[in-house]
Amino acid sequence: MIAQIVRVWGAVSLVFSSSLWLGAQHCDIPLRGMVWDADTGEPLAFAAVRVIGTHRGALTDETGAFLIPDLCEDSLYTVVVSHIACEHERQVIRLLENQVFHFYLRHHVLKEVVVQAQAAAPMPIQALETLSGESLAPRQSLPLGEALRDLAGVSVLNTGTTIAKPVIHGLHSNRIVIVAHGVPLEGQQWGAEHAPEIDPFSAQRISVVKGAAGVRYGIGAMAGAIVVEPASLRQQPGMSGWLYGGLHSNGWSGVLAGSADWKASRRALALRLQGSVKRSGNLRAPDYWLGNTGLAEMNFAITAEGKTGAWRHETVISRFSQRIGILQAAHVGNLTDLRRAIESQSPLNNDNRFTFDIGRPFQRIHHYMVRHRASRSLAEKWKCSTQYALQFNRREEYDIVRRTDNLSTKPQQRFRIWTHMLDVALKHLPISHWEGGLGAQLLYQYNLVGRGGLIPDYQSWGASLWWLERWRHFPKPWEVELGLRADYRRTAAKTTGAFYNVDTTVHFGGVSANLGVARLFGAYMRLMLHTGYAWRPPHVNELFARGVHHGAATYEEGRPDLKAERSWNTHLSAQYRRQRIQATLTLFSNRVKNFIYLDPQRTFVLTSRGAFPAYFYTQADAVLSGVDVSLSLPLIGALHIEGHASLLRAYRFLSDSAEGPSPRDWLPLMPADRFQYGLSWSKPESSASQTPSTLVRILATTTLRQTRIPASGLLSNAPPAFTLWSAEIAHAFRAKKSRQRYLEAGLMVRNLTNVRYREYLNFFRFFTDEPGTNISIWSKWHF
Amino acid sequence: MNRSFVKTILFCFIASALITACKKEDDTENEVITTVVVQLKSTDGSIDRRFTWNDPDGDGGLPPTVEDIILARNKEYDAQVYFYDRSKSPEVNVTPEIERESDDHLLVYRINGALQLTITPTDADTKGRPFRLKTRWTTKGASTGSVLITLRHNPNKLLSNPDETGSVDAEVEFPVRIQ
Repeated sequence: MIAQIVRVWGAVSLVFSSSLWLGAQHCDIPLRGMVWDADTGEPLAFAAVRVIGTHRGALTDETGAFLIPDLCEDSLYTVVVSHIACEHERQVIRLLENQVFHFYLRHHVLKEVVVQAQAAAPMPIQALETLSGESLAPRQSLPLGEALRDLAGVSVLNTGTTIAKPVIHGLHSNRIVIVAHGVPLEGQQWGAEHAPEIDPFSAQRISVVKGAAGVRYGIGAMAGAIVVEPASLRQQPGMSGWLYGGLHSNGWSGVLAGSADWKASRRALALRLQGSVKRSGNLRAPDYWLGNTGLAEMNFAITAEGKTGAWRHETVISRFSQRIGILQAAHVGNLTDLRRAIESQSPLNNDNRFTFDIGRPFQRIHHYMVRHRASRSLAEKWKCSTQYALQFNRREEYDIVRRTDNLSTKPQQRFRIWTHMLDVALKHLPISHWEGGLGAQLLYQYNLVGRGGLIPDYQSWGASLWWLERWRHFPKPWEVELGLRADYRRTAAKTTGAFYNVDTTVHFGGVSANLGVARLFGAYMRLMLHTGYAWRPPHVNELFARGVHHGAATYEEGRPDLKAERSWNTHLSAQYRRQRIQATLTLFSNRVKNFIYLDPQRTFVLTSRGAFPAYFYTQADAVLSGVDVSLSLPLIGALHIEGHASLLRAYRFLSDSAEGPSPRDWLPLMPADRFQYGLSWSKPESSASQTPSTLVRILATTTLRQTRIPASGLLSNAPPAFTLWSAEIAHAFRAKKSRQRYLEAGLMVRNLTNVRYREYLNFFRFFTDEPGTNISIWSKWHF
Repeated sequence: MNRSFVKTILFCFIASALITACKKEDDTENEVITTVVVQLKSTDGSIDRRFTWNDPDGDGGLPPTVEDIILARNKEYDAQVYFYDRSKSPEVNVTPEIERESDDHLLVYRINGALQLTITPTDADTKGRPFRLKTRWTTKGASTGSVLITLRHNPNKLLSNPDETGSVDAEVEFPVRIQ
């Protein structure tokens, strides 16, 4: 299958490249080279090397060497190297005499559970949206959620402008999994105002896997997963990297980031240092400043790769730290305050000025991760890989306190969570055209909340077993994927010194499964059917939470007898790719049994700050279904017309006891229908390259008013429809001789027409408008 | 830049993570007003009573207990409101701090029902603006109703009516009977 797709791409590049190699003069030069296994560093025998557009090719011998005679000197060729066990490698080379080219191939067995970020990379049988290259670069300085906002099927759950959580097909938080450096992120994801602790600069590519992905990514991947994939470390000796600088006009924010790779000349040691720094002041809505919406962030990651004997080691150490201001005007003491805020057109108690200072309320978050992976090949077709990851997440929330003196420097809430994960996996190369692997995972988690928290402290123990296999038999157009996973989770929750006492242990077990079938029709059309079963145990907050949720002015109470959520998610996806025509259509239906949600009660809970409406966690079956469409059609020359649509219908079945004429009700806080349309103009950098050197794009996004909202509850007020315009320009400046060094630069304008609007998925829509125009410039120097 | 360097970094990192990890002391600062007391002294000195609104288990859980304020007809009372955090032991009296930061606080009284009661301030903040921790309650004929007492934080006292500005720190309602 992959090979066929390569052929398609090859055909595309042939059209482009034909003009180049016709003009060359000396056409008697051989192409010499070696093919290596990038994972083991050993030469690869029987790898196929093809020079696109010449009908020439060769196989490598036992030493990994190959020779293709009679090519033209000083010409650009596109070379595709493929091996049955590896991902194909595609490179553009300039052929000169007396040169030996080295190609490094990576195994594609790596689509295992979580252990490898590449899991989802090589075209899984699942709907996928990716952000990379010139689409990723201008968005890397945004929070992860904002960066993914424009992808079809993805939306953002905001708490103000500074906190953004990605939403896939209406689900977020504990119902999706975010994987960074091959490790699922473990923090305080349960909270709607807890943004993921991910630095988009660590990614070369961010993939959004849509649909149940529980087998690959574990508990919780009911709606999908977000996989943040760093670039592979350097294979050839030497140094390389990039430096990034960016400025945003809204908030006068500045971003600096960089990454440097180094590989020893003799030894197998490779190293990467990567880091980023961001600072932003108050943002501005069209009519006023948004008081206290500044941000300060500093992240770094160190990656090292090496070999000892047969083992290959990879270690990642990363630190994410952030201090984010939260809109002051959103601080409400009780329901009366909230009602007043909602009735007011402009924000009340707003600090209407620009400043870089971040005052109360703010959040301070640290996330540390250490991950070590060791892998080796066992037999000819088998490979063993073990991975240990430790994550520590500390989240401190500083509220506006009654005390105004400077004595109060302490947070009002502190969460600390330690997560240990041990993975062992056995992977195999194709055996009768089946390739895959099986493995086990152990997890231990300790969450310390301390007094005054909304949730009790808890400890969790988990164990998982999984098995994933994929069948493909070139040139048959079919491809099949099967996976099965069993998880067990035990959680002991205990309050320490809080008002109420919880000391309970709960057990949950579940099975995840998936079946994917893909078929290629002709060379351009790919049809995928994916159905998956995923589950998640109720989180401690859903079981035991008790307290007033301040931003929402609601009293929330958990229910200790909640059952696990189980989701059956089916996707049908059609892809058409022919030269510059691209179209993708995805239909999905996600049936969730025991969907847990906050149910508004008809009672108020009396507190010392007045009465708050009561919301109790409860569960009912829910159905979320919808359509994602993406389209790109050539108009004239390099000009394309682009369109995307994301539609979602999400409802739950009412329990028998509830009154009301309809047996079902809409789910609250689901993204409204969204349409994007615009023009893009991209000029390929060279005939052979897929990456454009110049990109200009103007895109309008129309978000309709969400009319499908529950009949009762505070959240029954959706803002009107709006249309935003955005523009992007990016260009890659390359030195003629060097393919390594180049400069990318760009300009991006968001909310071009300074529209006043409010988002339904923003909890702070009651208080302020969304930010106005933001002009960003960025540049990235690759060396 | 070799393996020992990486190991050193790794060691330092894990060590620092574990050191911060092992500190289990809780230095969060979480003030909860669980209890509001209204002290009413008649100006003639014949009556001195305290009425309590109490919710020691915090938000939710057991409902708060509220004492009815019982007042005599045609009398003047000097009133003061006290705020306590009884979720901690010993209990914390928050009132002195509120008095110290009188500029940033404001008490608001709302009389509900047909209560024949008037409440007038007898204090001011350091800038001579309303504070109303201390008030005078003047009763007339027999009647019933309630008084809603709100403690506001960071009100805009420059406005002619600052009673709806700022955010709410505490808000309790006492049933009142004049007999």
